[in-house]
Amino acid sequence: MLPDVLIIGDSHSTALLDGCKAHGLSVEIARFSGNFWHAGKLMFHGQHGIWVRGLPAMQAEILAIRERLGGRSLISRDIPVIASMGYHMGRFVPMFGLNGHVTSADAFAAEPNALYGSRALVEAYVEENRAYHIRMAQRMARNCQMVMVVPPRLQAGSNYDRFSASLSDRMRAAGVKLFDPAVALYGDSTGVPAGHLAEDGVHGNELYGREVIGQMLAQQLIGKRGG
Amino acid sequence: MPQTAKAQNPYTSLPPQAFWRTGVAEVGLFGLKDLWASPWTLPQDARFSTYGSCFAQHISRALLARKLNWLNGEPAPGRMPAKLAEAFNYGVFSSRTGNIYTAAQLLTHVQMAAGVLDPAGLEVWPDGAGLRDSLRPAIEPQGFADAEDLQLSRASMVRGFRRSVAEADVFVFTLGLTEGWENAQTGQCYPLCPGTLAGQFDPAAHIFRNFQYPEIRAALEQAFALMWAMNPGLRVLLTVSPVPLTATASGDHVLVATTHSKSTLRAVAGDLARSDPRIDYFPSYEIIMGAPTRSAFFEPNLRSVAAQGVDYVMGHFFKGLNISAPPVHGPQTAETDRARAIADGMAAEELVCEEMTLEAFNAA
Repeated sequence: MLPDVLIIGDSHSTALLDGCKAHGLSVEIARFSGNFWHAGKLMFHGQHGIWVRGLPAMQAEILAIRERLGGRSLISRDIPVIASMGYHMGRFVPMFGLNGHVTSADAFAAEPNALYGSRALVEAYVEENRAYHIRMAQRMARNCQMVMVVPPRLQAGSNYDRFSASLSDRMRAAGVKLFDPAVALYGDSTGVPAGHLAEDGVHGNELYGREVIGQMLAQQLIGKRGG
Repeated sequence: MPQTAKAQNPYTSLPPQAFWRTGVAEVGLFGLKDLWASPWTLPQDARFSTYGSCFAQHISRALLARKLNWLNGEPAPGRMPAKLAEAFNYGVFSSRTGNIYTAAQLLTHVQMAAGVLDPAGLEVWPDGAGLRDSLRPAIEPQGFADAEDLQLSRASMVRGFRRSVAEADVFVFTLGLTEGWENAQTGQCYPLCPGTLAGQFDPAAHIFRNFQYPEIRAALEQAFALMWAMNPGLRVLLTVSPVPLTATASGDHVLVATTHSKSTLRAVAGDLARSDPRIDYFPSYEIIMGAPTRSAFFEPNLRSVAAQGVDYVMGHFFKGLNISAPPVHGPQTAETDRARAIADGMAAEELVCEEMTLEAFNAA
């Protein structure tokens, strides 16, 4: 029996998985460290849907999921996909700020030693680090019903916020359908309530996942099979 | 004339390099020595800031190649690919000023860094859907998105410039041009004539200036005074670019205009160096332009200096540089700590991610 949804993504997938379970959705998950996504280890694959370069244990995981899907590719038209990939901002946004670069007027004014990275510079930096991932998301979205869930946006005016906005713009331009919890749940504001965050302060927790999936169900972005 | 009278004249005790025959003609290009000796004994970890015209770019590269302490007040973001950093003009000068060709331009930058000139009051130029910075029109490949984007970037450059003055031991400035353009009403000087690379030329607003010796010297003295207020121990090393003018608006033939321009700059630099022990002059101009080279260090366009010429100049620079005093700055702990904190944070997140991956094998 096919699952209601297949989650493909990074560590942010955990909250989504919890949310799916809380709402009684049957779910499969292909979850890989943001480090592997960032490094370009994951790729779109014509036969398997997605594939991992050079990591046999994870390749076996993908093959096992395929088996549970009745031999289908992970990217199939009859399996709705919730994606959480392509952002992985913890892997590259901190490096952008290594020498003190910020991307907003407030952050620049707040720190006397801060340097400013222009919008064109941010775009070039994002392009350098994420063009591959956007292309992959685009190919996935063309071959299945996919909704990309934007990771929690935590601090207005931060580099994370600027990079998140850039990546979301690129996703949309590539034809990827987005669900941004900041818009759907928090009135288009940054900042996630403390009660919705995991202990690390970066990932959403089970409650967050429940809210996100609940809202996606309400917007009919996903649903129960035959429901 | 009696032999004793000859022995008593001042020239008899001069070293060989004081005479053209023994100092230049007989030794040839590669026998030239003692062209320059720094009057300063600098610490081994002396910090150098570099600015000026195109030729100044070679100095920063040479300092880095020798693993000397080139001070970058406005570095590129971390892990920025070299090609991208180059496209956005990082790592060319000690902050992203672009080329500073004239003394008037240098004064503008110093005044902004010293807080006596508001950067936000200077011109911005429309360019398609975006804007260009009139102080550095080519600093970003596509210009800026809007006024806020431009002004923040300009303010960032001012911070970087100030840091490169306040934290440097030696400020190396290469004088490039006497010719420039400025706004007739505001007096703002431009690195390039409006309407060439960006901006729009307005004959009523934009006037040509061929700065004369007194103006150049006054601008430099004013700039240095402000710099010493920010950093009393700062030493200033002047050079003159040997690169000829691309074009002149003076009305003279470009060869004549080049000679006038370089001669004026050379005279100002030399006189300033003789007038203040905190200022010195390094003869990059003479090394490239002097008769011994027979113009051999120029590319076929007779303007660009070939890599071999740059190496030759910098060879003399490093021979004359004295960095034998004990180090004074110590390791750059703040930057190292910040880098370590970021790396630790990323590693911690990576660990969380890896642990979460294991959860996939949880059958419960």
